[in-house]
Amino acid sequence: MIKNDEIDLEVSNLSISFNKTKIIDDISFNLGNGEILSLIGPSGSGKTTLIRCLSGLDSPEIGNITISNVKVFDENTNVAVENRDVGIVFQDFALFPHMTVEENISFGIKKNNNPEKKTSSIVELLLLCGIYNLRNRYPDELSGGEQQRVALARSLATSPKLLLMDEPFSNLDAIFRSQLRIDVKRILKYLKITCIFVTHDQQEALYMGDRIIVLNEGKIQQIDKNINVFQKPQNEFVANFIGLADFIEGKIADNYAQTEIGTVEINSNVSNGDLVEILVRPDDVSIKKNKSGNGFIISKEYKGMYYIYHIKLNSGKMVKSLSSHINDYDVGIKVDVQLSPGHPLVCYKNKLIV
Amino acid sequence: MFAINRILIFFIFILFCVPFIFLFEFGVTEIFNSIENLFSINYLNLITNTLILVVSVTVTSSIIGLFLSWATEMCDLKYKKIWRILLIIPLVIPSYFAGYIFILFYGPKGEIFDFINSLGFTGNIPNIYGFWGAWVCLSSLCYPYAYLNLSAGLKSVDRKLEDASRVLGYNHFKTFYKIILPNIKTSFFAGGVLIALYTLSDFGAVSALQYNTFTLAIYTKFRSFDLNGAAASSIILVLISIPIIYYAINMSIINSSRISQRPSNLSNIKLFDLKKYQPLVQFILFIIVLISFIIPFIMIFTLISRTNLGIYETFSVIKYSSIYNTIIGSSLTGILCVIISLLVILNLSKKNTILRYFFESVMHFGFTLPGIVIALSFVYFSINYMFPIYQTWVILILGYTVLFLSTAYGPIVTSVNLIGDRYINASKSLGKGPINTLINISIPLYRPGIIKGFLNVFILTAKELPVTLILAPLNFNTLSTVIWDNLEEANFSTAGVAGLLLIIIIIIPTYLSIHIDDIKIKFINRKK
Amino acid sequence: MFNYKKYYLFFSMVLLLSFSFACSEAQEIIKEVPVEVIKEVPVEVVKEVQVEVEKVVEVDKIKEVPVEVIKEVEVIKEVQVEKVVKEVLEIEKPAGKLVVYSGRKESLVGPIIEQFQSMTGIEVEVNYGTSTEIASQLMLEGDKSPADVFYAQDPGAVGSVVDMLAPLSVDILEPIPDWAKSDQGKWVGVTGRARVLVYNTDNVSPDDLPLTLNGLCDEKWKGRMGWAPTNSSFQTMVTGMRQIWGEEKTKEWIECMIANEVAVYPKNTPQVEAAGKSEIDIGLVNHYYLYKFVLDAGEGDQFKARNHHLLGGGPGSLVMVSPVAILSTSENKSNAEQFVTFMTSKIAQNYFVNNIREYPLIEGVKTHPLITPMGDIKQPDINLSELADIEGSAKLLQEAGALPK
Repeated sequence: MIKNDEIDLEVSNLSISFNKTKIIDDISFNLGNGEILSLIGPSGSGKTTLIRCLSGLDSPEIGNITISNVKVFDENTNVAVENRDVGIVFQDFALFPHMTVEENISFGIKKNNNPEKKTSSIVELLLLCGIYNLRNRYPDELSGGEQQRVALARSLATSPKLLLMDEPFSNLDAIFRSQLRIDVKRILKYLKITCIFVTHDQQEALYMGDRIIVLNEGKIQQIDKNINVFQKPQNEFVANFIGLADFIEGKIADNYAQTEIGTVEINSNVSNGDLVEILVRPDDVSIKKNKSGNGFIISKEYKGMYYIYHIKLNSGKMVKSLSSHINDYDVGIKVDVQLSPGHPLVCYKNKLIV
Repeated sequence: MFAINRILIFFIFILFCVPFIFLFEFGVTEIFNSIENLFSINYLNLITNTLILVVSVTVTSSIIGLFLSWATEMCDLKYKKIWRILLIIPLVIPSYFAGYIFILFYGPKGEIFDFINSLGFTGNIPNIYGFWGAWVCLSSLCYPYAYLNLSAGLKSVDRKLEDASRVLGYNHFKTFYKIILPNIKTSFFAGGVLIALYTLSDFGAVSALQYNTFTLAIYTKFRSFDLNGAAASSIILVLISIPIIYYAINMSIINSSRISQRPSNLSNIKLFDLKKYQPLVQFILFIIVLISFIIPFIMIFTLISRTNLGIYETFSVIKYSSIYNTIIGSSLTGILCVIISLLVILNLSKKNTILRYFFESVMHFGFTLPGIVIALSFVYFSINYMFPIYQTWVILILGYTVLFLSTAYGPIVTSVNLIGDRYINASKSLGKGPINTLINISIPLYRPGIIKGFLNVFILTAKELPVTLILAPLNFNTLSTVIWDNLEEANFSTAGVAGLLLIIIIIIPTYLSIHIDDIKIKFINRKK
Repeated sequence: MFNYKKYYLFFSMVLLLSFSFACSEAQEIIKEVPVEVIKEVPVEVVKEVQVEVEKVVEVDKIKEVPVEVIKEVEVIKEVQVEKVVKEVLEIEKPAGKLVVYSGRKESLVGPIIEQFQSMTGIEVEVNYGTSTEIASQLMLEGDKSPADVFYAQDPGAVGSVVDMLAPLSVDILEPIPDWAKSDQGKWVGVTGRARVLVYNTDNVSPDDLPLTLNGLCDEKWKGRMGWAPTNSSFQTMVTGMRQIWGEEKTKEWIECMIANEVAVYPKNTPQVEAAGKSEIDIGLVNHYYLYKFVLDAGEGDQFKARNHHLLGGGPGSLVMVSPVAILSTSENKSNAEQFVTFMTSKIAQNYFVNNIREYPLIEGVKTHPLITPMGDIKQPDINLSELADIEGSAKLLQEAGALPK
């Protein structure tokens, strides 16, 4: 856990509603110094609203927000956005179109700062973000990826206590996206910036975040290290949202569960004889061509290095299986389906982890 | 293949060159004949007088417009809807009428003087004749141009920019100055140019308020049958206006790419909380509306009440045809100006800079020149080359168009710059013809600019005088000629009633255009 | 593919140049043409009229229209109008067209033109405007002008296009006094308007008012006067001054008026308004504007201004006329002559006297009781057609500093 003196952002009991619908419903979480937190959720889950509340662009109805030990919001205080020392990178960049790259970046740096120091810090940022060569261009002369780098540099120039990135890569081409997220993570870690990274892309969330918050309908579904969110989703919603997931019914015997596609080791605290739902990822399921198999392929997705096969079991259940690209099966053929995870699986009762 | 719109554009070019052919024909030799006159002290004084008035009216109106658009578009101002309409109404008042009313109220022995005297104070009030009167009167007539342009500009600025600037540590006002203002620069200067050119070509107000400007001198020359002298002076006027126009064109062509190009998300606009300053802002708005609208309105009623006739008799003097002519003439001119603007903007692409420069400057000159020059040049042109259309609706509307096109062109070009013409190209690539594209793509897409351009032209045409008098068909009158006729002959009640009718006619489309925008916003919100 | 955009500018420039070249040629032709036209047209017209008269004599129904008019005329017992009606009978059809360019406002002459229309059945189309602007318009229109009649506010406007006018018939010219018609017989005055001083009755007693315009140069009027130097009536008066006093003396007078801080007004009505409110004490205007203000203000002396005719005569007592003329290019000459005859008939003269309070120019029509009879005005001995040189007066006013150059 994070120690108290390392906490950079403290949010407790935050709520906001719009037209009597709760957009954010009683949210509390902490964020440590230099930590990157991925905030993921389907659209309409309240991600952007949460970000706007934290920055001060919108005001919550109730709750407390403390940014590096300064209370910026509670029932008595509401520090204006310009005084919160927060940076935002917007989804659509919001670069000032009438200023060059360099002017955009230096915009947030206060005049009374030492001018030499100001120049050197700008140069540093330009180099760090890989936009030094673009410094005299105008935003409309830049590509999307370049614009996003400028936007990042601009928000970093003020050395904010907290950086909020609102789906920063969603407007970019896939090829820029993967390169940019590597660069951004490198920059953030280099500067030790505390950051909340909003996304709806699970790959991005898993890559960027030290920890992940999964948000749905204004409520936190799970907040945990990224490995845990994938491997031990707290509920079926999280399991489905992060990665592909199927649930197979199983009966507990000792530390094992018996299912219709084999017996597996489980990592749950349940008693013998209980009926549970077991989370099965496609890589946990292997298939083999067999005319008397226990399921048949109803469709397949070619992913380059591998296939994802959608299989209907004899019982009518659906599972997905990841299979190497050498195993090219035709749709409709019978296969043998076998669970072979190589690690214990987690179980659910009433859609919650047990 | 030779596209039809190229031919059309060619004819539009010719149309806009008509005044210059006329001026060239009558004025050039006169300029050389009286070259020593051009450098006389009188002449230079006249030019300085004119420029001082133009600059001061433009600056004042722009500042007022900026304040008003900030208050109504960016703040949580109360009674916003009413203010938006009240603030535009001064546009409606013809300047020759405004000048007269202005003297009745502020004049040395006007209503204010009477009021102060009735309170027991004696002595004179400051003299309004000359510069100060002309300045206040024209500013109060012109600020709506700045206001309209700026509020449209503010509506189209990407409000994310404001968020970004606030996050970077700038408060509302610094953000407005550093981020919003540079992004509405085009609107700001478009309004400013309109005001400058209006002031430059105004005759009614300056003559009533006894301030000598260049246009007044041109009219004086016409009045003394000095056609050549008037043409020569008009050429000088055109030369004076070149810097203004050069500036205007530079603003619209070159800077268009550097402005915010994203229409804002209408539902997500965060308004500035005026808090305790709400009453102060309301008060300032009230003062502006008082000077520019309420007082003229009261004076119109005073004029009407002077008569011994009943209201019915006064009304019956005004022919229905004058109302009809005003509405039809202004609407047709508005539509034609919109079509021409779209045709030119969409066909002369940004790459075609020289041609566009040429057209835009010629077009702005049209607004600079006094109406009488345009009118007489069209008489000259049509009597010699287009006799069948002489003294018909056609020539009248063409005259209006040359005079006022630049006021429609500005807002439309802003709209096109904002949205871009890629949708038009998309439509063309889908095999749609130009008319189909115009109706289904251009008009809905550039609607805000089109509505504003149409309104500008509609309002100006409805109050236009010299072109109407000279180019109109026989037996033709509009409300504006009725006002002029009766004001001139001291039939004040009739003039007042006609003025009132004119105001009502212009308020209706103005109100509707604002209303349409509101409906659109509601519609978008409901969709979400 | 041929790149149009590239050559577009070039094409348009070439066309514009050739266009303006064509214009300049056309202008020269226009200058030559009128001489020929004048020679040809009258001959043709005479022929046409003869033929048509023969044709139409048989038509009976049409006669009914003027018969009604005669009854109306008999009641009024107007000799002049019988003449009009006779002419109406002689003419082939009661219908026909007439285009009038009127420098007088619709609110003034609209009703009487309507009456002419309903009497004669001639369809009258009017182009209203400012006299001077209409004169400029006529000059530009040249021999293609659609106008038949030019009815102006001042002799100056008609004088500036005198070359375009047709000589009037003796019948029309005869009843009008010599001073009020063109010496070339090209226009006649319809009604008279006197130049007066309008003064504020609170601040000025009529006895103090000067005998002639020269008296206004007196120190005691400093800062108390107004004028409207752009007004064409005023400029006509200045032309009169130049005729009577000479250029030098006129210029001196203008300069001394300016030295006396005379206030500049755009036209006459604001001056009368200003005099009524004692914004100024004396204004140089035409006589008839005042009555509107007086009647609007109601009974008694609510409106504190009155007219004063200069007792000493001279150019300040000028009585100007609103002239009417027929254009030589008119295609409806007989209708135009009817119109001119009608305007100088007793019906029209009575209308102008009663509604606008102008001076009648024919005998037998009484001056309005409110206004000073013509006999009491010491008119300068000058023919109004000598007052056409408005341009010269404007130049003088410019030189003296009363008008912007």
